Amino acid sequence: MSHEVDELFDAEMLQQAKTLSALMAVNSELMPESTTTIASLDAHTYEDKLSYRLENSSGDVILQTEGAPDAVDFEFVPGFSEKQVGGELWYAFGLDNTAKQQRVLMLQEDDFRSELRMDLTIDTVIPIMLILPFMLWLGWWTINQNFSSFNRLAAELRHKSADDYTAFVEGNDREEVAVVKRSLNHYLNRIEQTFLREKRFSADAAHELRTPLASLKAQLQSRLGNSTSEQQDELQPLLDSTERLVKLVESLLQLSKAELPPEQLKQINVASVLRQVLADQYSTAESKGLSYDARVPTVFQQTSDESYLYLLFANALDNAIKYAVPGSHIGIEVSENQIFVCNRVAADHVIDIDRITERFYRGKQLDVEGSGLGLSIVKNLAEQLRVQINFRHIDDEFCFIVTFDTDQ
Amino acid sequence: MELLLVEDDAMLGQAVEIGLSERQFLVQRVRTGAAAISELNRTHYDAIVLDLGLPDLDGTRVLASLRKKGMTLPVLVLTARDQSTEIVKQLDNGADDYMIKPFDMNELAARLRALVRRQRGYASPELKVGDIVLDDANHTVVVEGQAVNLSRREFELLKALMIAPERVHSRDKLEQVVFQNETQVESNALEVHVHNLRKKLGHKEWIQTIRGIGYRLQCK
Repeated sequence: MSHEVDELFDAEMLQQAKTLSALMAVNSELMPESTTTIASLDAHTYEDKLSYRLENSSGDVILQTEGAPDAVDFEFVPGFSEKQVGGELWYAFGLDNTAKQQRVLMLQEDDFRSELRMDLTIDTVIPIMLILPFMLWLGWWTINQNFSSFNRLAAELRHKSADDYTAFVEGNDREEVAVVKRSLNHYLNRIEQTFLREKRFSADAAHELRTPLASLKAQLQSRLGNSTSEQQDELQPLLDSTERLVKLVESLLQLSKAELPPEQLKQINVASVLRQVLADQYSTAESKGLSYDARVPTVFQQTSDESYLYLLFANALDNAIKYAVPGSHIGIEVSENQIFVCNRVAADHVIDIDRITERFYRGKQLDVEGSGLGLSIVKNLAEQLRVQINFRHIDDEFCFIVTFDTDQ
Repeated sequence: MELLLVEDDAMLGQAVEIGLSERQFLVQRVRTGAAAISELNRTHYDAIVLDLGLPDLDGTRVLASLRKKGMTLPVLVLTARDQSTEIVKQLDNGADDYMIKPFDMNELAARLRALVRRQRGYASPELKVGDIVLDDANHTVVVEGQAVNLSRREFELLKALMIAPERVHSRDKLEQVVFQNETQVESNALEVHVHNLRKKLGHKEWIQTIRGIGYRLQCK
């Protein structure tokens, strides 16, 4: 800004010098004979800050305003110049009219210019400063308005669970957001199709395995019925292995089922489902010399799905029965919003709690019959039912804990 | 007992044929739905074991076709699909029983015998467990040769326990059987009926309480 102010004043000095020079040329006979100083009128504070000096070509002053620097202090220089005189900075413009042997020197003190610069700056900056917060807010608001659809989309995307492939609703979005949404929906659809294909494959594969397994089992049973005791000794392990294979296929089918959400979650009596599981597996537990210590209330209402929850408890209890020390108790307790299934395990029982729900993970208990899929099924089912599951292994006690979300 | 086995898988079909033949069934095996319908039109069978996944006509259509023709022979469906909706669909479609692959040969034979017995009208209405005989048709119970007078609910409770003896029945399932759709049931109502039933049977130890879970019948 100071540069513009200087430009303006320089132009003004130039114009004034030209005007004075022209007047001097026209009225040369009116010029005083000796040096004349025009006295100050004290009419304005800037009066002494603007001066001029008229000289002849030899440098003799003809006419000058009061307060103008002496010719000794500020000699005539043609064109624009500036000089420090008595602690003040002066700007000057000198115009030499060689034809008339006259020279004009226009002078301006810096005080005058700097004050104006300051005033102009203040006049320009203050309104800007005043209006700036509003402008910034307006800018922020406008950007927000324009990007609010993107923000909403980003929030929706953030809150989308990993297995939620439902398409984004295309409402009254701006075109650019609608394009992004369409692409996202297309992408979600492709992922879902791939995921479903994979799930269908494992379910179909397990189904397809059932027929040859049925054939194998039926043939072994037939052979076993008509064989000598020596042959039976050979055939029985084969039948046992077939039974293990059957269980593995069933587990794979359950795992596949547990990857799909239940049709609808509704209020059910969880205690009733738990009792049914306990009843159904009672004879298995009994055959291992195990007994239940069940503390289950008559009613324990929660939002859930009966068949999924049955499968969850059945696998958890099956795990407890498998690994419990023979002759011990299996504790089943419902407390507030939690269900505990606890059993005693052997002193040398080694299990990594962090890996316990991994598929086919069985710790170091390889002698215990099982596929290592039971707790993976439990984990998947828990995710579908939106319940939390935890495992606790302290000393010789292993606990499986289901926590229901009380806010549901 | 003449049986039509409809199974497209050669190995399974052969194994089931041998297994059932060894259990005194006369088995005719076919591998397609069309062959099954043709065979049924030509020959009389006591029962049919029908696989659902056939290469030409689906087992469901074979079943619908024979029921449409008014054939009432018992049909046991073999399926690799274990969804309850699928099973309900087959039973509603006219199947009398179903088994999910892989199955136990002894159980298959036993179920077929029961189906044929029921079909011939001499399925026993009696349940017998140890010294208890329950006649569902005449609504009578005999314990150690002595008739015992039970209330309707006690009778239903005993029947439920006798259908699957040695098995633990959850109190919730027993309540459903005894009180059916009644909404206002006292919390200890089942215990009262169990107590009364034990007293009338004269052997309290026969009905075992499984604490926190339910009851089971143990009477040998």
